Amino acid sequence: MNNFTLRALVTGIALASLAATATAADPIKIGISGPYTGGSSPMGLSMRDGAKLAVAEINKAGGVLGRQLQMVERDDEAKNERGVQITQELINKEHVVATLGYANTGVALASTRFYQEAKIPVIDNIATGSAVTRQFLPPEFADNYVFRNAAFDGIQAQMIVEEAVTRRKFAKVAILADSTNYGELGKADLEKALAAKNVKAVAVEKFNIKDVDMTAQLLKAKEAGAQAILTYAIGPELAQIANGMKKLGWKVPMIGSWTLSMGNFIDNAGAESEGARMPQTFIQEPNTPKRKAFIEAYLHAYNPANGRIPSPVSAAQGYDSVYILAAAIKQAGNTEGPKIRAALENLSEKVDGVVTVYDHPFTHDNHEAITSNIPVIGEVKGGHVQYAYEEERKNPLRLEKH
Amino acid sequence: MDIFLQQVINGLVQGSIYALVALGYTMVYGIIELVNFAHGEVVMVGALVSLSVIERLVSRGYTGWPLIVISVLVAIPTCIALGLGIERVAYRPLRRAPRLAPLISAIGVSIALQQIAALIWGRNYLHYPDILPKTQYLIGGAVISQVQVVILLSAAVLMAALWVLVQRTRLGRAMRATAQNPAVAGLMGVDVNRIIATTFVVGSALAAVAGTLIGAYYQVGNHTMGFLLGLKAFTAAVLGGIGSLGGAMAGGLLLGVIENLGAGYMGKLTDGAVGSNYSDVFAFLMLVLVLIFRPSGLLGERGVEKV
Repeated sequence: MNNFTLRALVTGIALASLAATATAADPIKIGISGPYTGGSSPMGLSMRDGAKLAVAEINKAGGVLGRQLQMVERDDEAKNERGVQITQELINKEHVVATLGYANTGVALASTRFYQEAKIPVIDNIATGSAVTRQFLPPEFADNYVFRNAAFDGIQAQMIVEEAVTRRKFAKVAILADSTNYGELGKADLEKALAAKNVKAVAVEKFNIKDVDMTAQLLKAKEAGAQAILTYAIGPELAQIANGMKKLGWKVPMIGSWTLSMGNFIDNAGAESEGARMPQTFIQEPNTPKRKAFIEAYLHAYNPANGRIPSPVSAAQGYDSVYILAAAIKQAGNTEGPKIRAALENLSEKVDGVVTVYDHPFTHDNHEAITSNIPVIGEVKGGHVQYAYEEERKNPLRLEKH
Repeated sequence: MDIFLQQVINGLVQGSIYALVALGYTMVYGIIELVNFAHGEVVMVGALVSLSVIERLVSRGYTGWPLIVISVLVAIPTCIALGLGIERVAYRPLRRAPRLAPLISAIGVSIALQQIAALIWGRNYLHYPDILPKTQYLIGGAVISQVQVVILLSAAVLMAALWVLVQRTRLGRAMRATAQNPAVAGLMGVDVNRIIATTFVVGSALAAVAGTLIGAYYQVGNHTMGFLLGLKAFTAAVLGGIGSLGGAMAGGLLLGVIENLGAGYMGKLTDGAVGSNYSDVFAFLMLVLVLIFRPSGLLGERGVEKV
């Protein structure tokens, strides 16, 4: 052994032992990746801020395993390639224990692969594409490291169709969806849910992100005699649908995925956003003690415009996900990825969250914390998302896991 | 039939905005043979400046069309200053450089302006307050709103004024002379630098008006809004024949109508295989066809003359 390799070896051993002694006092790093700028920023920002609240509360109460939680936040700009770049940084440079994130299905699909390979759990708090948690299923993969705390599209499409066709008896509906992964997959889920009720959409129209003129698509829906418009898109484009109807002097109800609750839909559509309905896992309404405390803490910490959380659903899911993760780390007893995954899949502690009380939220084969009995229908009233149905407001927590 | 008419009306409104922006491209190209890729960003700055003015003044009780006029009167000088600055800094030093150099410089300016706008106005979507009357008129089953009427009229008036300026005034004659041959025009006593600067002034003023109109129409603004708009307007200019004023106007209107009809009827024509989100593809496909069969554009002059 020559002198150089020997020296390198000694340095290596010294560094390694240094690293080992340092971990006990080190904070537990949790990555958080979401869009903090651009069209889907209300979701990303609310999730991040909700998660930060939970981290601050946990740290104040002494942290997890005697260590403080530390969030490493990154803006993925809703771009797939940026998401992948951040993922590699979080895994290889920051050595995160777990990551929370993703408002965009495309970014989630592109990024989660790296966590799967690194055996680091990742909880998707917002992106709803049904495929997100199903990329790494057995038997091909022994264990799946991708979890979700959001109502996936299959559930939402069913709720939208139930609301439009069954509850409100619209026989002719049109689908308007954007041409991203989100819109394409959502459109397919909507068509499937409609087919189950023997209904075919009278018009199926698409548009691109950043399109500002939806009148051509709306005219086709109008020509086909649509009585309601079912949407799968994000805030700014949804607002242009509402504004486009105004331009045409035509107004039918909008019923769509949960993104109709985004602040940038309500703000950019103004009065035209009134009456839009969507599935929600959380509505900014203090109808449980936990929700009251959460809403007050959020408004106090961030003081959002008009006293409105930009995306209440994202904020609540982000907040809850930190508590779920903390409970899993506690149960695992250390911060090894496979142990945390196993703990998440068999969580013995009941996590009292904002959205619901999470009682065994995940199993080895089911990585969806939100089941079809949890979301309710929200409606834009007076610039805020409120309960559409009084009985759902009075009966806030529906617990049994399916 | 009323739906068809409605698509055409909406297309004409969209197209007249394209035309206003396309004029900026075509004038600059006609005179110095440069594709000013930063022009879309000048429109974006015009839109965001007028939005800022509207936001300031709406809380003080100003509203309706007078407020739009005030905002456009602020946006025009801002855009003119910006246009002159871009010409002076990014293009004039490169006038004798190989043709690729000013093109790259134009793309650089475009990116720089987007980032500066992001610093000033943020990266999120901005909402224009509801200040305009919602009056709508019925024509043969189709609806046209007051905003749309104003956009069509102001675009028509501006284009007519530009036509008169170029064809009927001394300044216009100097511009045409510079376009034909800058060196000879200079020998004849035309101040070529001043004429080129004037071209940027006129183009930027039109961009400011276009930006304000887009804002008032779609009620949304963002630092990236100029990019696709610029590309579309450039397409319109090439479609009509770049360098030709009439071509830019016709190209703009045509592109707007094609896009709307494309989005409206493409699904039916292809039996659902190609959806309405492909309307851009359709527009650019038209461009390719025009370039193949009529390289100088629909109204462009054939032959070697470069105007």
